[in-house]
Amino acid sequence: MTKQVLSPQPGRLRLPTEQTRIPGNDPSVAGSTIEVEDLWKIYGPNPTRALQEYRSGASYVPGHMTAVRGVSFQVRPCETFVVMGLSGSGKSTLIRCLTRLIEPTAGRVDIDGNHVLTLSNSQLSEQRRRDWAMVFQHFGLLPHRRVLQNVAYGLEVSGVPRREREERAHRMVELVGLSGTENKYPSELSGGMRQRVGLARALVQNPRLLLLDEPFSALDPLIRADLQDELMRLARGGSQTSVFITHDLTEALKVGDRIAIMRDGVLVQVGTPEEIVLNPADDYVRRFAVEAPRAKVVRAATIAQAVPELSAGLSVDAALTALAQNGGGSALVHPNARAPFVVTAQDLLKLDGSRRTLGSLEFGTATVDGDELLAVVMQKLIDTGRPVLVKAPGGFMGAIDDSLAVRALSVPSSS
Amino acid sequence: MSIRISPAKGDNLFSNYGLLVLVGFAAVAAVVWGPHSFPDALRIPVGNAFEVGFSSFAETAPWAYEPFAAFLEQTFEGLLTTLSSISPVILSSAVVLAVAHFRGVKLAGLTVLLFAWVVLSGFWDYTVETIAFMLVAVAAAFVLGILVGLIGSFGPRINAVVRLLLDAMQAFPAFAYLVPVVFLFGMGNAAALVVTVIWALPPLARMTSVGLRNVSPEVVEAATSLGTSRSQLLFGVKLPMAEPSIRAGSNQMIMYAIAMATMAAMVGAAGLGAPIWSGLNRLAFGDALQAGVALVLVAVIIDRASSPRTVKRSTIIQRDGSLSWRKRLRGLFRAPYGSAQICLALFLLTVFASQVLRGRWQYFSDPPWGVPLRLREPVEAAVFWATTTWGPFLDSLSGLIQTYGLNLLGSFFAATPWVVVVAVTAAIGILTIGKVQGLFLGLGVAFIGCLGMWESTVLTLTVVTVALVLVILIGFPLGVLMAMNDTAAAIIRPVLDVMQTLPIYLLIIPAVMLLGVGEVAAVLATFIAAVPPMIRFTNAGLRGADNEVIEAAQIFGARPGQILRQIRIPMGLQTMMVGLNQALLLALAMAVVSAMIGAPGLGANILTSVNRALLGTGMEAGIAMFLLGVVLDRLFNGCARFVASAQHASMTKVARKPNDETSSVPATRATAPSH
Repeated sequence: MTKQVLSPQPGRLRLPTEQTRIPGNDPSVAGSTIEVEDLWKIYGPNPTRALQEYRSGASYVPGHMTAVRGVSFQVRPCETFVVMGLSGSGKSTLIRCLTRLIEPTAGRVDIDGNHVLTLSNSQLSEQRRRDWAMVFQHFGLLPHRRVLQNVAYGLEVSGVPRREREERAHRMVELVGLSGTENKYPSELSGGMRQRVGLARALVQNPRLLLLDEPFSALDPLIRADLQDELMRLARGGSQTSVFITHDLTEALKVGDRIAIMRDGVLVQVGTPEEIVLNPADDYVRRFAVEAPRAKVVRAATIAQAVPELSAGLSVDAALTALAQNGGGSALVHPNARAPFVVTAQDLLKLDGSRRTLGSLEFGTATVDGDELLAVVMQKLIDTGRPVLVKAPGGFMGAIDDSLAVRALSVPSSS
Repeated sequence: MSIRISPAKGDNLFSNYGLLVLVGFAAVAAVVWGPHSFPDALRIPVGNAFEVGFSSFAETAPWAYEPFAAFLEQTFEGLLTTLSSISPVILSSAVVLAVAHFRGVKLAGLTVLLFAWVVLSGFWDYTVETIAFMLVAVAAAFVLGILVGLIGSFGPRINAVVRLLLDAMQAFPAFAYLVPVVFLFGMGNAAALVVTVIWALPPLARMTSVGLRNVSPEVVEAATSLGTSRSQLLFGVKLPMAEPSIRAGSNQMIMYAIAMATMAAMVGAAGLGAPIWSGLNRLAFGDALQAGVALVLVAVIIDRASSPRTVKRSTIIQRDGSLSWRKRLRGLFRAPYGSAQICLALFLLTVFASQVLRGRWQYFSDPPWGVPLRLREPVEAAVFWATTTWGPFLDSLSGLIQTYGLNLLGSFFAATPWVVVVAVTAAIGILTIGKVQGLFLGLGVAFIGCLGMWESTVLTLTVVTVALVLVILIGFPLGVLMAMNDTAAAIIRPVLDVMQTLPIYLLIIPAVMLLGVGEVAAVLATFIAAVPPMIRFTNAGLRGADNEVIEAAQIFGARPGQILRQIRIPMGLQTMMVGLNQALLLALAMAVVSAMIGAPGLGANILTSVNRALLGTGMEAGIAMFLLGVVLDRLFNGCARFVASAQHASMTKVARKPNDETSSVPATRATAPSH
């Protein structure tokens, strides 16, 4: 399965269309598959006993802190899976349990068919060197090494010869837009530049699994947006699966193919950005959802309303009658020679020549793909001043007019 | 994610109650038990046990320590022979050039001054000995210190053990180390080297393990996530990141080493300490001062040269292998390193000169014009002048200190029954620190009596207390002056810097010159040693007050005096307390050393034991000193925290964390605050 088939890419608005390849990336290496089942992490004097008590129904075991409680989920190959939650919800612990930077108390983590929790230390090291990489909130750069050596560090640890690793690091540094800073120290860089180094250090490994722990939380809003775009550009060219931790729903919606909402160590809801925003599982998720920038989440296909198709040979009067029977609104007209367009009752009423056929009329109508974001649709609504047609395979699934767009934007009062 | 349990409200009440009971008990007991001094019946023969233990150890297991000492001594001898065989002209110019290249021209100027002084005084041989001695001791202490620090970083439990050990090592008086070491190794360089290494090792070990444990966990995590192995993590990530801390620790280690190396002259160590020691013994202050100046220069130069603050960024950078050796060598001769060329030229010139001059300048100990610098006569004349001119003033001053300080306090202490002292210590401890710790402090005080050191401890405590009162009376106003007046600060600060660089051993020279030998001179020496941190921290505390608060006060129209009294002093109180605490620790250290100029008490006991090889007494006095130091330090910190929390619980801007491990140690050398 490839990414394109799986789900439409969100947030394509500002992205360059051409897909950037990461040099050194081997296209035959596919992103990892992750399966997590009933994962627990309990801190305290006796985690095993606490786990038993929890499993037998206790809701609180004194003296123990449960960071992750019985979490299960799957991540598909090449997917960007976002775990979103407030601080203290256990998301950072969760991502560390996946690669055993933190040893989980119980559960099963299965990455590409390997039972991670049963790997020996050397196997674990091997996996980390070859297949996994991580980006950290506060960058985790080595302050005593220059940028180039920081980027090359992972390769150095796994024994890549000096010339080769510096070459690869060099290209990676260029790719993240840091050319010319190779010989600087991390302390000489700004926060955004440091995280670019962190990103480069992770990506130069050519990992199958990329873990990102709040990578952009420590950055200014504008720099954050830049780096989000950068990450998406790089991630698209590569062939890795990403697990992305954030506490910012906007960010989650922007980068995530699917989002898991975490609260008090439990996954409250897992779904696409649209599902999260439009169908929040509970009040907790709803409180985030109302804050979401809906225009950048909701897709045309979701809100498009089916419109009747009127034959091009119909006269305006007849068309008006037909529309009235349908309860007003708009209709699709598909003349043979020209592009299809939408007519509304208002359009027709303004015409004097009521005997003209619909086919002879001229109404500029924009069309969009079903996975286009509402923001784009709205721009077209404004530009043309008319409803927008939404394409479907082999035809049209419907149209979106101003009122539909506005309704999709408005947040339903909690019911 | 530890869960901290704060004491319940009732606890305090109980402590008060316990305090009353204890004090009442003490009063009754004092009346009942009559004698005020510690009863002999409670003596515990700790000294005998040590003597027996050490003797059997020395008989059965010399293999355990002798190779180490022998190795150190042989290395020292070898190095000394090598250094002596180099022409002094070449050796000294090489040192000067190296200093000029690595640390700049200023310090090189100071080095030239040192060598000039040393040559003119005829101390060349002593200086070479000191250099060799320091090189060997510091190298050994460096290796061992890093190793101990590494062990301490392995885990929280082992770290606790190592920390306890290091605390004990540093709280044990430097002087008292000489006793067991002389017992095992006899007089001479071997003993001196061993004791120097042991004494200098703790600060480095401590800073190493602090540095290693403070490495950002995220960086460690990042390295781990890339598959770094344990040894790669240690050598590639943790040690390089701990480097600043290790550098600071090395600097401290070197200063400790030079202090001990000087003091070790008492057990026959070679070096500049020897002429000081013999000068003091013969009351030839001029000689002592002359050697003292040389040692001051050595200490200042070594401090500046090893201080992490002055290390150029470029020298740190160079290790990461990004530049090839050839490039680096070439870099030495490029613009910013132009001094290398000058240095090389100078070096060649001196080599040439030494060849031309042949025999005449071959030995600096024998300057060509044969008129060595002699301070003895001028110093004696100056002292004579001072004592005759200011005699009445000095006499009345020392009489004042004697009558209203030492005698008054001494008779007060003598009149206080020992039970009361023990009970009061325990009560204050319980009230301010906690039940268990308070009881232990009380037991510790009682144990001093069991060691048979009660009287001596009281004498030492008298000297220390009087000196501390003087420290507050004089140090606090000076600190205020420094804080209020930038010119005064600019004048006082360098003086403090130099004073804190000196081995405290040297500070007895001015005291003995002015006041001769005796208790009052000891008070003066103790005061001189202890006053710098008080001044420094008072200044830091007053200057450190939150600027916004001061601006707010100014808006309300507060005058400078009001700002000082109402804002700066209350806000800087905690910092000042830290300064006073450091003064206390320095005073304790100095009280022992000042036995050399006739201070009675524990120091005198230790001094006698060193001279007569009385291991038992020496150990008892050492342990008593250790206990006194720990008890006073804990009580002081407890009281300071208690007062602070009671006075302004809301002002949580603490100058240092109460459990900060680098500061609660009774170190003999005060650390300077950042400004």
